[in-house]
Amino acid sequence: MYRTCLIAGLVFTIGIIFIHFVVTRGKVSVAAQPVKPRNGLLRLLVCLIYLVAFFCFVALSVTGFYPVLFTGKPLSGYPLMLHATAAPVFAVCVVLVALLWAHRNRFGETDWNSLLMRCGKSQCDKNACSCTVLWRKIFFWLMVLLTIPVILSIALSMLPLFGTKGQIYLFHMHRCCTVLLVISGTLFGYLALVSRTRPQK
Amino acid sequence: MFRNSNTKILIIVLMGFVIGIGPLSLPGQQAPPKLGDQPDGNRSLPVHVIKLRAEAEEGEEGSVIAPDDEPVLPFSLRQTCGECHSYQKISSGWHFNALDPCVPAGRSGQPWILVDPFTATQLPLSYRPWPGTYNPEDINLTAKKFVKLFGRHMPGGGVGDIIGEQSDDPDAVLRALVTGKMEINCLSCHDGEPAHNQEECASQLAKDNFRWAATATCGFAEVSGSAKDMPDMWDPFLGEPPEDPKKKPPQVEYDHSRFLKDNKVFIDVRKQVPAQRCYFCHSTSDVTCADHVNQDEDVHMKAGLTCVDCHRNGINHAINRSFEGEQLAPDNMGAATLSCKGCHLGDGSSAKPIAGRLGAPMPEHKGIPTVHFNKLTCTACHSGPRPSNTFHYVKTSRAHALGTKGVKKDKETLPHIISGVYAEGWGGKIGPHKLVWPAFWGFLQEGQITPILPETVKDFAGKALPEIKANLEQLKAGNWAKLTPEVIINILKQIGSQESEKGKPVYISGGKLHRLDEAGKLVVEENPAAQPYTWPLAHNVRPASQSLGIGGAAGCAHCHTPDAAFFFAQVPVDSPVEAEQAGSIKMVELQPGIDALGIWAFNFSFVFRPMMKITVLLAAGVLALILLWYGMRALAYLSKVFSGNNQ
Repeated sequence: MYRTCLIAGLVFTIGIIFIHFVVTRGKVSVAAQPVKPRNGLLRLLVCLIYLVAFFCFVALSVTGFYPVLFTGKPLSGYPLMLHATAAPVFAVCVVLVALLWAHRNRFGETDWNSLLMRCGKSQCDKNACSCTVLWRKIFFWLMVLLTIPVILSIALSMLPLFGTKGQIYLFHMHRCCTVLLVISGTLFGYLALVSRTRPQK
Repeated sequence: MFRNSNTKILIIVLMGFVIGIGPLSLPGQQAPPKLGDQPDGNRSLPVHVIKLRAEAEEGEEGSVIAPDDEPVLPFSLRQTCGECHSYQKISSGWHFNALDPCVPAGRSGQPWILVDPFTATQLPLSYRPWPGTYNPEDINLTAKKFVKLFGRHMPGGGVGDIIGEQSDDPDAVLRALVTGKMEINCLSCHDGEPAHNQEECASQLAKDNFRWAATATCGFAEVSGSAKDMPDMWDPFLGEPPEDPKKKPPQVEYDHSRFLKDNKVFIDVRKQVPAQRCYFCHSTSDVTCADHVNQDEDVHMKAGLTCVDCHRNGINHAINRSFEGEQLAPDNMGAATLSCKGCHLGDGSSAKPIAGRLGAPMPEHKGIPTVHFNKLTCTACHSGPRPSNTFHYVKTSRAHALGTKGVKKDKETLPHIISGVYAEGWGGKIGPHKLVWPAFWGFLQEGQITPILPETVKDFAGKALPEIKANLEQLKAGNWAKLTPEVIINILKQIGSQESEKGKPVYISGGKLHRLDEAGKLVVEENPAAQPYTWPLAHNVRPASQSLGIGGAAGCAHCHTPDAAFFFAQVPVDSPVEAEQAGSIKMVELQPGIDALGIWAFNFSFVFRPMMKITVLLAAGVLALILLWYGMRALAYLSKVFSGNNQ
């Protein structure tokens, strides 16, 4: 069941990205926002955070999903160690990404208008009310939200708080939230790439 | 008479069936159950005031024994108990069916261990095809010899019931008529009389008194004399004295006061077998604390249970061994819930709760990741000695003849059984095991090794065997003589010179095979036959507060530290060869599913685990704060919108 859901989730994500890319041809019109240019060192640091977050994300996904998709055996041995090593690093990276992107992804008047426009109740500038940006924000906050149960479900299972039934429940919770996190994280990453804004000159 | 030919044909066919096939099906029909085979439902203990019956020909009823008979015969349990209970059914039970090839061998169990200090032999034997053991029949160990060696801790039946039957030697067949067979001794387990002396069985077997052994163990008879001293033509049923007046034939003397009217005797038969009866054959003693001062009883016993509360059986005596995945007898399917898991956890899938039988507590296992339940047996954390870097030998009733007269009490007495070894076993799960390193002389042919019996080795090797003088202390203690490469070479040469058709002579010990190369030099190499034989231990079960993994993070450290004994304790390699005596293997080498480097790295990661827990919990906290902060701001905006004040 979980395997089917995982495959469906991954196919759905790839499908959405593919369709979106074909329809928009990779060009999304976004209203330019006033973004302060970062200095060299800070830029490098931010790049490093993205890079580490990306690699941890890949490592966690591969080690976590490979046994489910291909071997059918529980995660153990070296993959488990890699998974457990990458996990805390990823958690820290998600916090940093959240701090870097939270303000940019805050919901505001533009998003409200965009929502109203989608509902046909208002009209606004198409560029300003970009659907892509709205979805990017939704996926960003979903990603942040889902990271919490993903972390807690595994961290709490390491503490002598839950019995076997609780452990099994936490494990299933971890697996289910992870699938949703991967979907929202991937879509957020994609939309962040296609809707990135250049600093105003 | 018949209206038409079709009716005639039908009647002829039916008659043919009745006459031809009917009788053929008779042997297959089950005999009607006897009086004691089917309980009537009354839960009180049936009082056994019964007539003792002597041995008789197959299908005949044994004569009733009176204390004044001439000669006084031993009673036969087949005849005495068989009057009301089906001997045939009982003999299919686990304690008696080792010879039956149709019975699944199941999980490897404790083997019989043939030891001989002088030839440095320690050979695991079993009639069941457990990997690592040798079938006594394959090494020319006859049923009679086997019973003489190990019958002391057997309830009779099985191999005891075939003494003299397998042999082509007419002398052996005649001899079996003199000594008799070792029938099932029901009283070994079911006798509630305090005077029952199972040890007496060993004394009788030493004198070839197989027929008299059961009688000798009971509390109302004494047996003297020896069948071994009797000539082949001596008839025990006539009781004629032998020509040599110094030789005393086996004689029985019953306690006259126990015989009631009609020569009936009260026997205190217990359906619920007392644990003390089980202990005679199923005791384990740690050589470091054999006085029992520091040994605790199993928690189940202390809770008021007895062995047979979990290890149950019906009339077929298919006693359940209570391990996960056991193939149970059809009339004992409920026993599935009498394994550790069955009783304490249930199967988790049934709507009807099955766990908690007999008031078994249901553990929560707080903080224990579920992967442990897939990789470990329940006993791994709850039973036997805790993992330790120091190993010592244990003695068991069956291996060391505990409870019999003249048993050696030295710590080093063979066989050397190492306990508390955490090895992979049945079902691929790791659990505590007992371990024995095989050591024996044998012939290697086409990759197969056939052990040689110690007597044969002595015959072949003669003076090449180790000097008694030089090994006096060891041999006195029942320990094996020390072997040097020179001694091994000499013995191998001697065996090879006298018997070359059976293959190349080899010596197995310390996990290695020793053989001579073409130049006559000693070659030491790996061989699967040299691998240690392990069998799981389940008792004593410790209290939950003493189990592994208890106490949160401290519990993890019981097994997950870089030098944890559970994985990295050095299991000593036991060998009489001097050069091999200091050897050892890491416990993880007995856990084939575990990669040594991998588990070391995993255990090492536990050094950082507290830090990791703090980091990820902090990360989750910060994320929650970010969500809360921006969530509140979004709510504030929405509030403004809905109040019409969004300008």
